Amino acid sequence: MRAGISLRFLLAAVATTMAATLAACGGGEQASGGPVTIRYSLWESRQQPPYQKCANLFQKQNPGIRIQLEVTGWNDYWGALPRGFIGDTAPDVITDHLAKYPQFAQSEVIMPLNRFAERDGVRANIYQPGLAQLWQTPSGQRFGFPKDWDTVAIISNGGMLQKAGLSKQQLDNASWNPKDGGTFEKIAARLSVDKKGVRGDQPGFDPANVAVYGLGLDPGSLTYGQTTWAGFARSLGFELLDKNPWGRAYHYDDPRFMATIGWWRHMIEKGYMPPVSDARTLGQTAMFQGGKIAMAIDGDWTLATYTTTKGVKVGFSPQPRGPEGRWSLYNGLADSIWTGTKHPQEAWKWVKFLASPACQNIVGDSAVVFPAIPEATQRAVAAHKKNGVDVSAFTSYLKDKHTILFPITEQAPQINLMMQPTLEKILLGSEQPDVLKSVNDQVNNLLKYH
Amino acid sequence: MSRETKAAALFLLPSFIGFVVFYAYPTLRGIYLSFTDFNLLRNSGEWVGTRNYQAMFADALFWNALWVTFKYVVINIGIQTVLALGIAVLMHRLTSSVVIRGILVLPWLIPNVVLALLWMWMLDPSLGIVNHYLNTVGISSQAFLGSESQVIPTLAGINIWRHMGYTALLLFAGLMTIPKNYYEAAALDGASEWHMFRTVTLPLLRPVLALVLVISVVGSFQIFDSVQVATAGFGGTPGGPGNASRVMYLYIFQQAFEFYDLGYAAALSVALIVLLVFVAAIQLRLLRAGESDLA
Amino acid sequence: MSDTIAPSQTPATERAAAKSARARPKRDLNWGRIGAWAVMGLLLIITLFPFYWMLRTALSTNAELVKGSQTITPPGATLLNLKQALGLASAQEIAAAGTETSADINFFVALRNSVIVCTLITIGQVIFCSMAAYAFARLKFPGRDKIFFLYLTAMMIPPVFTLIPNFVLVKNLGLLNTFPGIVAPYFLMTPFAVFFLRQFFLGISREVEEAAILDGAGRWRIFRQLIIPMSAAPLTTLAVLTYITAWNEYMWPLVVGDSDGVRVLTVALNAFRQGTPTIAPPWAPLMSATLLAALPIILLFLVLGRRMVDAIGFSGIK
Repeated sequence: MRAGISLRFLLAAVATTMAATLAACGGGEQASGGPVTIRYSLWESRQQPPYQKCANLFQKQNPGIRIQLEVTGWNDYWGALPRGFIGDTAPDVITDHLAKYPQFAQSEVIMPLNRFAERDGVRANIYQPGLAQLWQTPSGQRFGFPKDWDTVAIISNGGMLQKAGLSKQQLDNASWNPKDGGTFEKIAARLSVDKKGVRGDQPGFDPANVAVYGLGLDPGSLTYGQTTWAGFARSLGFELLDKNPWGRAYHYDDPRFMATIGWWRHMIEKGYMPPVSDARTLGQTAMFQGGKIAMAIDGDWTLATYTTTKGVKVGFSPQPRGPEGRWSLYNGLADSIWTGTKHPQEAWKWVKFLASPACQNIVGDSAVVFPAIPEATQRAVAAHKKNGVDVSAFTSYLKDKHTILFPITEQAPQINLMMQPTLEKILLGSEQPDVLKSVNDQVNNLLKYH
Repeated sequence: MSRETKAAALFLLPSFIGFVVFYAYPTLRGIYLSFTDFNLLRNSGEWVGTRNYQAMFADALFWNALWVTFKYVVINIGIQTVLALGIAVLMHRLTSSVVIRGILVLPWLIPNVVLALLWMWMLDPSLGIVNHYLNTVGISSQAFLGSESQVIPTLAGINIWRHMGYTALLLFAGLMTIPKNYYEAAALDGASEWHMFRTVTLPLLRPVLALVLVISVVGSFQIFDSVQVATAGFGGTPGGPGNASRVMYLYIFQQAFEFYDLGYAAALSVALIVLLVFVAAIQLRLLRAGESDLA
Repeated sequence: MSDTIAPSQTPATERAAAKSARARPKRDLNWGRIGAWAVMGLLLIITLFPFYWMLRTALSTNAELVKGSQTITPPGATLLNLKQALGLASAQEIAAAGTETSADINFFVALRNSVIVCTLITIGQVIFCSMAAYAFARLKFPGRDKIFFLYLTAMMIPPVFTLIPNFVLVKNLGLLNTFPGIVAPYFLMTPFAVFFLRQFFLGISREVEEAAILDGAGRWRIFRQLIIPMSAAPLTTLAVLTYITAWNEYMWPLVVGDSDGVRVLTVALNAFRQGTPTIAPPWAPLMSATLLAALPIILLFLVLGRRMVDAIGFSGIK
């Protein structure tokens, strides 16, 4: 009766729906048709022009593939990307970072490139030494080919050096040790000026009322100390991990590290470095541009911000010499492919191109970053020279092989959550460096259980 | 009989589906997840036994979250209950005007997020109006949400401001159930206001007070909205300064949606439930809420 | 747990009770009363001032705020911030006002989304929970009390515990960042709603129903044509409470619906806050946005205030 009719109706409805769904599924693969669009994400807007040039060249060589560049600011980049992974709307190729890729690899949202590379004969030995191995997991899976690298140097305000009676050579040859800061601390002291005009190395200097700090502070990423302690501590022979990449134990409780971070606190107390709160609210680059700091420790990725400071002759010096020489943390970027991409073959073609001399030379010529292939690096150095900028300070570490590979372990974000506040508190003076003994245990615990 | 059962089945069906799919099944699944290494991005996980629980007990941030949340609950509920009781008695003695009751309950109706942002603005260390008034009476500017030691009391204060009217209304309704003759008898005996409060009001209010306390405490342990929104400032990350406001809910949220470790987040949630059951049971015991002195 | 208290507290008896309270001996009551009223006045000011401040800030020029102006009236009164919040201001206007951030939020859309989500949830809960409540209150069937007890236990489960598995479920169903996905866990039932309505249905006199059954009416007919009209008051109360609770939801919509098209107001506010300001902290636009988020509730309250206040009093006695 009624039930009978409705049952038949129901069956008919179900059948129609299923047919419609199957029809839609059937037309999935667009074998022939329009061009394939590969979405490529970056966070540095200054890098867009050179990579657009790369894209244009690539598109000429590969008609049928369109490259779409998407630039999102650094802060939003790492928020938007995971949302893309979760919601299946991520870009096909992403600019990846050494600190983030282990988590992505473990979560299987980026693709191992091994079989592509083997098939096409792409080698990882054409890059600056040490970079390529960082992008491989212990099981041998490779998630990126190096595309650029960066180091950290001391950036100085030439005018302030002169007024203080110092020469850039003195800064270039500065020495350092955690006990008395070496000649480096003396230089910073001399460059510090309090509100009454008294210099840091003169009697009566008032650390509570400083007008110009000798050395700047970047409290943003203290966990690896890229723009703070990394080079200094290494110059004492300190190594953060038991092995790198994929270490299983951290050494924040090493006396050499404690001495280094203690020296940082000492500099703040003496008034040669700004306090954490000022440094955080204003930012190191802003303080330099505003003439509030005479020297900054920063990476070559911010080069352009410093060199375009009006009225200031900017100089770059390598980090000061410790007992084991001058060292710098050595970071590198690469491009990874999202596992959810609908066009893996085309995505690989683009990644292969990005990792090749053809693209890296274009990027080198634009003098925005140092590409990973040595020849392209040379072109970048030359391009900087043409602009009147001497970047030898940044490249000096490679000659001596004094580059600290970026620390890679599992649980990096969780470890950062523990270390960043602890190190901040030490710089604020509310904790002493020996608290690191227990915190290091907690950090190693995290690695034990995962 | 059977006809009624059939009718009942139809009436119950939608809500029962809702119950099973979104309450019962997730609860069981959650417990299961806590024994796996389920990763949110990978959308899969394998059984790892009690490893998450072992990691939890060794996790300094877990104990930090417990401690921070505990501090918050004690300050929040302690002050809020006293204030709400006072307001309820005040209303009871002065007026039961709907307008006044309405005004007092208004903050409770507004989303937590809205109020947290409003107070974040008013408590801003340099531009906020609260510091401005403090300065005019000679007190130096406080960092409030930007200070490690002040952030939890400040969050508690915001929550108290939001809830005191609402809680007062609940207690007020309870006060109305106390028969007037008790008060009249006590007044005839010459008892003072305070004495009447202690010997008549409090004991007879105990069941309502106990229930309100248990629910408030359980709710307070679950604070999330205001912490996530107000401890970060513009463009920042919540939980700070340092880990001073990284309460349980926030830590669970971070583990699940920033570290993608759903297995561990599930284990933390189980720990939280166990704690809440424990706390509620102790409270009910201590307050002897089952009995009412009215009976 | 008394369910016979509230119906007897009509406004008339309340006023009589208050009057008799005031009729007690007057010793020292004058100073005491003045003090008490002063405290009450202070409480009202503390409660209301922040709302005024929100309005004042929303109408101020951001540049003045950043300079530290604390005037009671909005410095440089302007509607620009409200326009920015609603997505009606042009990029140049925003840049000129110094309130540019990396976040591009359209609160008008967020408002629409909140209305959609809350309306759906309210409709669903009122319908399905009243059905369930009726079954528990009036129908006899095996396992009735056990099942009701199960529903009650669901009230004890902290939301964060079901959050994660529900998120995985919604994701696997492909409903992330869709309205059905956001509404799903609340649409079919909430333990509180079932409990609340069951209390009322228990209190309805059975005679009318029994007469209808004798006349041969089916259960559904009785429910639809007798019970529902008789329960207009508690149903409205439930609808209002449900709407407000849904409006205030944050954690679940944040996790399941953080994309532009489906963001509700609370989540949109957070997204705005997360944007990095390019020039100055955009306090004025933020306060405009919070004002927009609070306004619907305030309006609802002005219209239905009395009923809501009474409902809250009742729900406490439970």
